[in-house]
Amino acid sequence: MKIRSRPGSLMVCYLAVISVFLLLPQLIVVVVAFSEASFVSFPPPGYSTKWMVRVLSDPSFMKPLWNSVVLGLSASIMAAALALPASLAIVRHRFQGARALQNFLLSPLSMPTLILAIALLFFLNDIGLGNTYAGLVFGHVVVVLPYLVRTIVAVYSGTDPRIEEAAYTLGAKPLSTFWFITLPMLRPAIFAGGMFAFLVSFDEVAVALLLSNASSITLPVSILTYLTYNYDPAVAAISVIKMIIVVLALLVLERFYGLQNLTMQSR
Amino acid sequence: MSRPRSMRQNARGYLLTFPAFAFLVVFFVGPLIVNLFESVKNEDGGLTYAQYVRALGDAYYLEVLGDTIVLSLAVTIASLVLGYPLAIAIARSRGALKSFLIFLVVTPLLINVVVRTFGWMVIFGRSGFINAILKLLDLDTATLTGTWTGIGIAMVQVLLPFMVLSIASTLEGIDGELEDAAITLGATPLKTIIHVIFPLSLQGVITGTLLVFALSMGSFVTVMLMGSNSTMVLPLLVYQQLNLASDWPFAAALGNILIFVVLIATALQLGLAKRGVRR
Amino acid sequence: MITRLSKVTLSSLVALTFMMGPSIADDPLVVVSSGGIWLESAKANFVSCYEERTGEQPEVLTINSSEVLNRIRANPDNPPIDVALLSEIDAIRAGEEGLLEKLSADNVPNLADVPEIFREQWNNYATIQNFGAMIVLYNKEAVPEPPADWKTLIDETIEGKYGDRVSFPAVTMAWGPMFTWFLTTLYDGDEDMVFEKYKEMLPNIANYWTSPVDAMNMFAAKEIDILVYWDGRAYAFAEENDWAGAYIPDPGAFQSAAMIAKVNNGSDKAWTYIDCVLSPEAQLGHSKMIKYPIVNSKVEYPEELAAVLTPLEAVRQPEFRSFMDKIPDWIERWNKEVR
Repeated sequence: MKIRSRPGSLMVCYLAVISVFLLLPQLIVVVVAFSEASFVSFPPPGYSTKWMVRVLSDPSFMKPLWNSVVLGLSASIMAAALALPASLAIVRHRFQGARALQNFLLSPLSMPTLILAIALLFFLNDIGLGNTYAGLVFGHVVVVLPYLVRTIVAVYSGTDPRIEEAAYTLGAKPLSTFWFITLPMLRPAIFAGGMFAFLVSFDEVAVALLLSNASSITLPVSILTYLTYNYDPAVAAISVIKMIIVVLALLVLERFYGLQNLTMQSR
Repeated sequence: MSRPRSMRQNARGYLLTFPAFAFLVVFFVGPLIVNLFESVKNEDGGLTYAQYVRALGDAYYLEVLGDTIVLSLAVTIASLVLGYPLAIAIARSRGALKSFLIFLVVTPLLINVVVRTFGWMVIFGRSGFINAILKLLDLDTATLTGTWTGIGIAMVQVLLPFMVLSIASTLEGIDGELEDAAITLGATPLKTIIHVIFPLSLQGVITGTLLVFALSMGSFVTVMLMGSNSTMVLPLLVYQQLNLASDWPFAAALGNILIFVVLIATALQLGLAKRGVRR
Repeated sequence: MITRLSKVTLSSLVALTFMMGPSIADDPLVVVSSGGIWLESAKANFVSCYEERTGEQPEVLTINSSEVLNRIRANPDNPPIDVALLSEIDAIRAGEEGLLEKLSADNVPNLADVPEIFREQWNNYATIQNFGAMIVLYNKEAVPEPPADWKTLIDETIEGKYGDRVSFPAVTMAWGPMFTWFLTTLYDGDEDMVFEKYKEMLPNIANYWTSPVDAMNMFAAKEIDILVYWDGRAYAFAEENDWAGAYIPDPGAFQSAAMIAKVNNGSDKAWTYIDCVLSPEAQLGHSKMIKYPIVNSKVEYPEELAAVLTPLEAVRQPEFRSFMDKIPDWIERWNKEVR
């Protein structure tokens, strides 16, 4: 347990540097969110909470924020429901064409979302799903599915098939083996993949720009259209609120579940 | 590892993958065909390769494609090198520290790209952080905005989470005792990482490089905001064609070229993964 | 087993998604607005008027012109938008593609008070709702006497008089092609000359901007001394900061506008909304909020508002049809040559 218990001074140094690298741009945004100026500038001439207050009381930001949360969750859960059985089959059943199939399930990654968005817009209209909420969700499922497939495949192929075989040998039914053995082994994958899926959907703009409507408008869309003509710190403020929400979500997970359980494999 | 493939294995495999497969056939291949058709149709309804000739027959577009690939490769490698130790740290830490590290690595994704790029402009700008420090040290000032280096740094920051969490999630699965054994047998921590941990985390590394490479190949907002005409990437040209020139056929052709390149890269990486596992 | 389970989960999820998702109400009028202060103004001035007249609430979409155009193109028979807000060129394209319905004083009574010039080039398929111009914002301390006209500004920039502390809009900025057309009018319609000037300026400018936010920030951080920028924002910044000034160089500026139009096959209630947008009260209210000039000739601006609006005489409306087909070439030329 040497690496685990004693992070060397080199590691501490590295962690400090990478923390600054990862956080600095966001810290600047946080500072700007509390600017009193009506233009985005750094450092701000003075500080005030007026932009935070404005954004929190502005339904044209808060409603899209909620919409984005719902869309992100719906798309991630649906994508996980599709990805999980497929990934299990690809790793364990080793059927003919499994590798080609994995390639196929990952291929939406290679399509620039700009192109996917406009093609989906016309395609969904052709099949009668134009201007529907389902169309928007399906669009996001296409975008986030590869993240889940690849993460689950990667983690699952690193696990030992003998554990599941042992369970079968001991008379466990496939479903209970899946529930009690396989699923716990896949926790880190589902956590990492689900996190990617949610965050990618949460920040996806190209598909949402063309497929959302007035009642389903997402936060990135409202930020983007806001930025076209307005240059004040409101977008910095809404970004800070977004960060706070995720911090709270992580804290809640930590409090009720223990975050380490999410990525830690049960051995 | 390879067992004989039975009919039952095949049938089960197909059954389990069917929902995902069918979903993508409709909602991904469908649009893909719409897009392909758009790129090859000519005005009187016939087929033409003109858009592809226009793109591939022009040294400028080839150069931009090359630059895009080089930038994406550089970003991918930098993310791997920078992110690997962080992935180890996440996999090996517990409790509050772990939560903090996970939060640390995902924060860049929580801020809209336009706003985040503003943060980088403040850091890299003429009167920005870096130049203020350089001035303090009496060194020559440098402007990173508008350069490949600046763009690359900003992209690595936001793509790191994909690399780090991919690797961390496979590292979680590795038995800590293996490392202990290696160290007990006299291996240095660095050697342990290179010879024991890295090969075992290969699946995660492949996942991370795959995601980061594909995402870099498709991203253009950072380049648009931080770059200039001397730092052009293919997806930005797609954006221009769609939004300014309103030329969907050409945008579709450029997009298809991009898809083709990334698909090949994905297949190559997955092939590598298979070889690595066999070894 | 697992498949059956996943199928059940999946179908219930899909069902849930349909139920949970924001439902699309029966048939409200769908209109478009830009975001932020523009949305506030649309709600305060246009939507309120529409509600008063019809007792109904329209849905307001905040998307940009190219998305509006793509959406109505995708479904011309049953368009998801009734009242479109488009850029000048997208409005011409949409009109020519048969996606819009002609406006007339019969359908939109207030159109009678909107001068012809605001819709002539669009063959009455769309009308300007408000307009602005691109002018010069400068640092009074660094440049006490800014050049009086555009050509001098360009030539002095090439000479390096302002160091590299100047920023112009890029051709690939949304209104860049219009600015490029405007520059060609200064050089007797010679495009080659304009691109030559773009190229010659390159070493002596900070950048050609594509993002209005970043451009303004560079100016506010005093990283640049001269910025070619939108009039409304430039005047507002100069008003707030003593060290900054804004002016229209000779011989004026080009007009940039937001176009409003009724989508073909959209609801007929669209006429009422457009009539509201063009009504004198809503127009004045809109102008007060967004600080841009509007088009209804019955409106008389209060003095303090008139002082910060670019007068119609100072702007030149681009001859869109003379250059819109050249835009793809201009973009390609810009990408290839000016680097």
